[in-house]
Amino acid sequence: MPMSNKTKVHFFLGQGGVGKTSLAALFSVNKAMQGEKVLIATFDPSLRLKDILQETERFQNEILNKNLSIRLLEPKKIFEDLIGELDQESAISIKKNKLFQKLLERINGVQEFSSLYFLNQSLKHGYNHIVIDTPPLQNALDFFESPGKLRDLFESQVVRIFTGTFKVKWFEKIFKKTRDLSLKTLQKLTGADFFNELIVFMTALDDLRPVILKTLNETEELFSDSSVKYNLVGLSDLGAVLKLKERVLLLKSKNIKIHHLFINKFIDWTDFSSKKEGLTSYINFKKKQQEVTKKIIDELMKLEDLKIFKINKQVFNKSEEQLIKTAKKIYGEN
Amino acid sequence: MADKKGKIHFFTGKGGVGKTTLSLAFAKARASRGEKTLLIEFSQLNSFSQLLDIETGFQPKKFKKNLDLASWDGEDCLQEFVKYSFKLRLIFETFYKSKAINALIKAAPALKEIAFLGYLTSHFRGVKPELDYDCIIVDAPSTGHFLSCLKVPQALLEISSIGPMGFHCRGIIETLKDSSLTEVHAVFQAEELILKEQAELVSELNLMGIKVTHWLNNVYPQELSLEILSSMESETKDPISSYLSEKAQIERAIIEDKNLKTNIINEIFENNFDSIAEQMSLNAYVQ
Repeated sequence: MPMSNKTKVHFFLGQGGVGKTSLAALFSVNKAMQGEKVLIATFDPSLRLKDILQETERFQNEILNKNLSIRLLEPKKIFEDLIGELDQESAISIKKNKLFQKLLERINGVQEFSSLYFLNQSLKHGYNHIVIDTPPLQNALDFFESPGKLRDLFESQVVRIFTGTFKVKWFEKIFKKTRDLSLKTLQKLTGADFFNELIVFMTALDDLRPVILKTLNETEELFSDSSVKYNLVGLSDLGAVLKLKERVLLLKSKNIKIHHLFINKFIDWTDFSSKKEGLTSYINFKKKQQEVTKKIIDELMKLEDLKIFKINKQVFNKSEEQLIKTAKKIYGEN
Repeated sequence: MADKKGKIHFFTGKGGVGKTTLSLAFAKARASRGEKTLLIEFSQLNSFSQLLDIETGFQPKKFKKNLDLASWDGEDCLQEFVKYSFKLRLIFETFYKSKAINALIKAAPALKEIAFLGYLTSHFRGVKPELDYDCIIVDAPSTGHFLSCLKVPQALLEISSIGPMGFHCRGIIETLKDSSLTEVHAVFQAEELILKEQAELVSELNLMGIKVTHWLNNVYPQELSLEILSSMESETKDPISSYLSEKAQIERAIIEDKNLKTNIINEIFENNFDSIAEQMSLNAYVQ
């Protein structure tokens, strides 16, 4: 396939509440309006994306209708699809397992894995752009490290050791004794019911191992591909900008390059003034903070290939027309 | 204003609203009243080491008189609990060295959350190992993660209502629902998306039967607020003016509505951290 036809992947990263979903949506709208085929995927089940992109109805604008697709990512559904590829018996036992039913999403890495699995599947469909609105970060590296943690778990075959399907020939007796003692202890600590559910659960995960590892392998290469862009979103107050700087540098130290940095809900105090005394001292305080923030942003601008966008605070109008206008204003021909 | 000893206080809210700042100020306010206080950081952000220039770990570390700090991640709580359950250190070490057990602990959902909540509530449940403090404050994760953690005991009960798991989960749920033992401090600011998330948070906590206290953070001091509102009477449409007046209006509405019972923390203009602790001591709706 010629280079120009390769799908470009855009990850939007950031903490909760910074405007990731909105900016990802606007980016998608802008590209779609330029005639490119775009798929945007989000975990955000709240109506925010629906509000912005009116997911449940067709777009009024024909260009958007033709070019823009929206998907809500649900880890449970994705894992149910994966289970569907297993044999009947395994599939039934996993679906019945209560840990799977109730607590799947508490497993470290499940959401990140789901977005990678979805990405992997979607790359086959010939979109020009795939935009992933990632789950909110707790720390900067979460999104990148979780797949690795999952991989370690599955590659090490410990699950098999645990479930006893792995035969260790020579020191089997000693090994078995230790394992059995540990397992017996765990059973005593957690109780028989829970322990049994856990065993079934772990076995189920083991059955999914081949397809999970396949996905992780295929997408791992993707992370460092030049057709993948990382966009980090944050707020504009001093504390937030400091955190953003920290994140950019931390990711840089792990060879993860942020391409676009969005400083959202920005308020420019420079030209603002008031005749009232109380308000003036507040404004001066804000101006001082803004100077410090500006210095930090200037430092970041010196980093290679990092493009910084300051997005002014604005209200999102639900009208489609307004949305398209705002998207163009922010992203232009980018 | 009853001043009860022996309680767990969680601080949560949308990302960036001021959970860490307020939980720390609250801890200082309690410690200065003579309560033996532990402030636990249970998010992966490692704020203590940055904010306070102090390295904290699982074991509580003395920070000030009556105030200890700790950073937990669930896995360490699990280890503590397991350690306690073994009489002989040797067996514990073999157990923990076991690859299978480690894999299990890493992959299994719920174990860490139960260990965390279990250890946190141990003193109040009279279950060893006990965390012996008058006042335990948790700088908790933001809304979504926090709620999902609190829901784990109930989910587990539905899987296994008998045996040790059932026992611990029931005890945890009872403690969380007891308003004399647990209180969630929902922190928010006067901005549309934050208000929306606050409403969702409060509604979920009410459904779970857990006591909630509201904290509106970063509020314009009254004189400033009145000035903003009066100078905005002319139709200035620039974004900053509209932002200022919108915020001031929302704040006034919340403050003046006594039915909402919201505690107010004013924005501070220097890094005068102690003034936040002072403001917290004066607040009306905290027990």
